[in-house]
Amino acid sequence: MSLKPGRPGHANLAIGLLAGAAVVFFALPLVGLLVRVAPAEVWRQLTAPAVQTALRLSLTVSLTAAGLSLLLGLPLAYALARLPFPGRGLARALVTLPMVLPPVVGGTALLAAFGRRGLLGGPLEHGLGVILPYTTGAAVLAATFVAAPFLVITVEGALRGLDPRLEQAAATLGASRLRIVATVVLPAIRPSLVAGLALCWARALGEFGATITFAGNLQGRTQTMPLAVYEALHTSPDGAVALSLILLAVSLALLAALRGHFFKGG
Amino acid sequence: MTRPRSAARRVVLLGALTLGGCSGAPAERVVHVAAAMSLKEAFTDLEAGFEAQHPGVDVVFNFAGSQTLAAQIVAGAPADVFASADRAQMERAAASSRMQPARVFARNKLVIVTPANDPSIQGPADLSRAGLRLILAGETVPVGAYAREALNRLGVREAALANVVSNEENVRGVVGKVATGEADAGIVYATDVTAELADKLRTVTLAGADDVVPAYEIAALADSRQPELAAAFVDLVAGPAGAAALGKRGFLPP
Repeated sequence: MSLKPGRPGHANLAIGLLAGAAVVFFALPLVGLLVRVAPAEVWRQLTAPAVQTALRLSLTVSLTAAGLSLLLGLPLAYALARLPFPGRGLARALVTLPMVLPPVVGGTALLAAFGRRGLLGGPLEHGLGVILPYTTGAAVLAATFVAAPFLVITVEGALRGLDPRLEQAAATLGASRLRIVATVVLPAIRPSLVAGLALCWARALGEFGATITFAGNLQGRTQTMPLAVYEALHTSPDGAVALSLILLAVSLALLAALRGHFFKGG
Repeated sequence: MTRPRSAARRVVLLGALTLGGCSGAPAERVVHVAAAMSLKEAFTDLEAGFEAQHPGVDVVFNFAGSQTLAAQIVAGAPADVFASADRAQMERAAASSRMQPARVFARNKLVIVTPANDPSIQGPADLSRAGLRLILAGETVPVGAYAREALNRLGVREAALANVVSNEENVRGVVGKVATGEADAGIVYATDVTAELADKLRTVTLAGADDVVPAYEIAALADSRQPELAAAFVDLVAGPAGAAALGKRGFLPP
């Protein structure tokens, strides 16, 4: 198959129209949010105690999940990229699965593992006296489950793109593996690490399905901002829009902070 | 590169066949019934009879918490009939001026449910036991509002609410979480202990809160595009056939 030359004007027009339609499709809902409520209402919501509780909880849960993802995800990404071990392909597939799995399925699976009648739930409850479901810890686990893969996959991709001879050179100079990772590898993949961490945090902040399934919905304990938006939708729709605008502002701030990573072409 | 093209052709052909199949069938009129989650089995029982009486009519149910349905009606969702589990949500829907006058067509009873293998809860007072994991519906969900009112009558509201681990968006969320053993207790309608779940649940009466009686209201939407069918469905539910179907599922007469 080869592209035929000639009449590029028509093709460009068609592409332009479809691309324009796509931009309108993405922009319209945001404009809808913006024109729906008065700024005063957003301010009133932002200062309402219940909203501040949800916002604080969302930040705590999503930042803890991002930290946990970093703690477990960074070594995992390194192992997937650099350490040949049997079943590596399977491990990679398992880690990627939550990215494509419906979150409510993730929540159900977490219940099957950590619920009171789950695989580990019984031993946890009777051995350690820990009951996970419907706790803030459950909300953190749910967010980590869905968000960590974004960090792992991004960092692993960067590691695979990194010339292994850099690390070999450092090794021949006598550096330990940990020292190589800290002084050679991490600085080299820093942009990807930051981008992966940001994607991971954003996904954790937006997490809804696994959270409401595994952690339930209780103000101050498991009702994060997305759950508060959903509940407000059925009680005060304008409040839901105001809450959505607050989350939208947080997301925009994140994008702005990362514009060097995502808007290189712009 | 012939394979992708033939695959694409097959998809187009399949699409054309599917569309053709649709346009070939006789035009069906659809009655949209938005109904409280707890009415699911009783209303589904009524569907076949209504469709038999009205050939070419398809009843489509939207079962959810009444507060969700009221919000959808206020937001302009297409519906012909609304059946709410309490007056508050019917009044909220009516504030949209889309509702015709409502009437009470059934009542229900609140009960405590616990996992079948847990005998520790004997009455409402046990709901305030420290460390108990209690699940209620949210306070705007009718069954959640009734439950809070009952706990208030019993004088255990504050202590019981301190044990709540999750506010569910409809009554079936409460029943399910108790049935799977994730929660120690919940307050639901007696009719929610369905045959399917009966062996997983133990029911304890809410003695002392008998005067909190859940009442269901039904009304047609004033802007229904098929007002006769909407009125006919309301009449069916509020009439003898409806009473029989609701009674069979454990609902009380209005």
